[in-house]
Amino acid sequence: MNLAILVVGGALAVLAGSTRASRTARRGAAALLFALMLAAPLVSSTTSILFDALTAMAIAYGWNVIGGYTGYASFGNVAYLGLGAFVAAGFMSRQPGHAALPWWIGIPLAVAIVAVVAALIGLVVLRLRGHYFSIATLGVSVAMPQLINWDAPFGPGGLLPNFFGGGRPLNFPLAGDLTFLGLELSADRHFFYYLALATALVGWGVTLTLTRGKFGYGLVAIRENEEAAEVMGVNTTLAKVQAYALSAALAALGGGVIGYRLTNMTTEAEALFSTANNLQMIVICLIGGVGTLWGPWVGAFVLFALQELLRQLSGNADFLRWQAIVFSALIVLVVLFLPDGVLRFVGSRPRLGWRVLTGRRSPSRA
Amino acid sequence: MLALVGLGFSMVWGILNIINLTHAAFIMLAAYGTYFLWADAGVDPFASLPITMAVLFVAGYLLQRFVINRVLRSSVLTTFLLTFGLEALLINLALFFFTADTRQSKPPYANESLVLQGLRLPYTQLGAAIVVLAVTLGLYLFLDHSRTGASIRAVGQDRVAARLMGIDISRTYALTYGIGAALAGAAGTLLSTTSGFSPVSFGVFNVLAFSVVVLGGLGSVPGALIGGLAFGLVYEFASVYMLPQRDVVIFFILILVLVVRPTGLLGKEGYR
Repeated sequence: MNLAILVVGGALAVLAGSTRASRTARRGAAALLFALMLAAPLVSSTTSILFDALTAMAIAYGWNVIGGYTGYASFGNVAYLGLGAFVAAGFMSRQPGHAALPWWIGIPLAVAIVAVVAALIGLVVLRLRGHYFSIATLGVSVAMPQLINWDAPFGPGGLLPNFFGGGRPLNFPLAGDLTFLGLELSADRHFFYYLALATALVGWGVTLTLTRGKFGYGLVAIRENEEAAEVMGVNTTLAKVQAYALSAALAALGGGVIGYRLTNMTTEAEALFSTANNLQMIVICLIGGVGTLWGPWVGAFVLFALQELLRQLSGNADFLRWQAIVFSALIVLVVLFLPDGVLRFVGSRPRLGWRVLTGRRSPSRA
Repeated sequence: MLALVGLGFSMVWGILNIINLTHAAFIMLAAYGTYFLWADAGVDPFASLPITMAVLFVAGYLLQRFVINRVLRSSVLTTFLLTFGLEALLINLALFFFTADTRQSKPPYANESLVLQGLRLPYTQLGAAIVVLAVTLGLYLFLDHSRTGASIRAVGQDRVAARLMGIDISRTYALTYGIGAALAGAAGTLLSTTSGFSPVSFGVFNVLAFSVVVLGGLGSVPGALIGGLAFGLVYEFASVYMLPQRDVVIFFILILVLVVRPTGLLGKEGYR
């Protein structure tokens, strides 16, 4: 069932993002897609893979802002994903010394804090370009989990004692099942699903405003030619830092929601900051189409449909052993054969044949 | 040791202008090669050095020729992601086939040391240091005095001009990448004797290699050596004084160098 939702949703997203379809067809596809997503928990008994796809999509939308629209290939957004989860946990935890805020305050607060942190880091790393920027952000993602465990500010006697656990366990409160208008709503199947959907829609909405506003045009100008953008009156430093902070904020939003569902931060730290998470957002954008509105949506659904298909074809245990290998092989294949993503591939209808397979074609975007 | 890690990385970056994130996976493959040669066939780790270097040279040559060459002139994102993907693939395959157990090649002399006026130098580390110096010197002489070395440098300086002078660019690229992989191979072989390792312990070498290159200056053999030494010292001090946060220290040094002196200690001009 979930596989069907992912496949249909992916196809609708491709149509919604297609440059060849008419305006009405695109609008209709988008409306159908949103209706499908709203109805998904009614027809599907477990929504956990959809939850994964939607939160990953939100994070990918975040990466798309800096990596896609601004053209700064960040390889460290996972740092903000993890940080978002930890800061949210720090505010929401019901253990002594924590504020025990409800999720609708805790998560946005965490997002805002992460955005500020990212802006400060961005002021430094955004001075670099190209390879240097990529490696520096990769360094941020290596340094962040270690900073969180640093005893001086966050240890028992630090500035914010035990905010990130500091050796003690750090948990999100458990989300209970709700009764709403006489309906039984399960925490996992309904509450977290709609939270994830809202997260993804925030990412989508932010990107939509980017494609229509002055700020977004400024970012694209920076991507195409930073000096020219500066001359034309774009405050490049400010725009880049804003884009980087926005990108981190979306990563933190996704991370906070993922963390809320995982609950136990002490045991999940490694998973949140993992390389797989780091690459996943980039691969999603790449599959769909870097720097496009519907790219992350398409990419996330394609990626998770493949994952679900694989899981159904193999047993669960085998799947876990092979997952990482298949995922990394997929990265290599996508980079080699589909570097412009599904959307541009569908949009341009290249002569699919041995020219594509042998790679003898002009470089698409140098 | 870090100098050797940085050296191959520096060559590929300086000449091909790509950040080769598969570098750490090459180091890993060589470390396992050496381990299995020692554990299953009884080959001394230092004797396996030429074998791993040769095998990785061929592997690197072919990988460049048939895979990486396709994306060479595309965006940073593409080359970065491709080499990172290859790295993840190799490491996950290693996890699958070699398991995550920590291993180390321990020849019979592993625990013996040369004692020099109270200074204990383990033979394996001493041997490793000698190999690093010898390989660095060899590479320096090769690049500076051989015809092939001159063509590699020429391609690094100006690809178009080099092509006009009749140099086969793709062959030179593949050769450079092969040499880079072989140097990673040497580093891996040495690492397998001086410390324990598992497939996941290599990822950090990419950032380390990058830092060494940035510190020493891009595309400079003595630069990589000095960068490696300077960085190794700082890294060891950081390990002693603030063990859990030592990678944070690396990161701050890296950013500091990039912002203050982007050309490194011995580099001449920065790449963008």
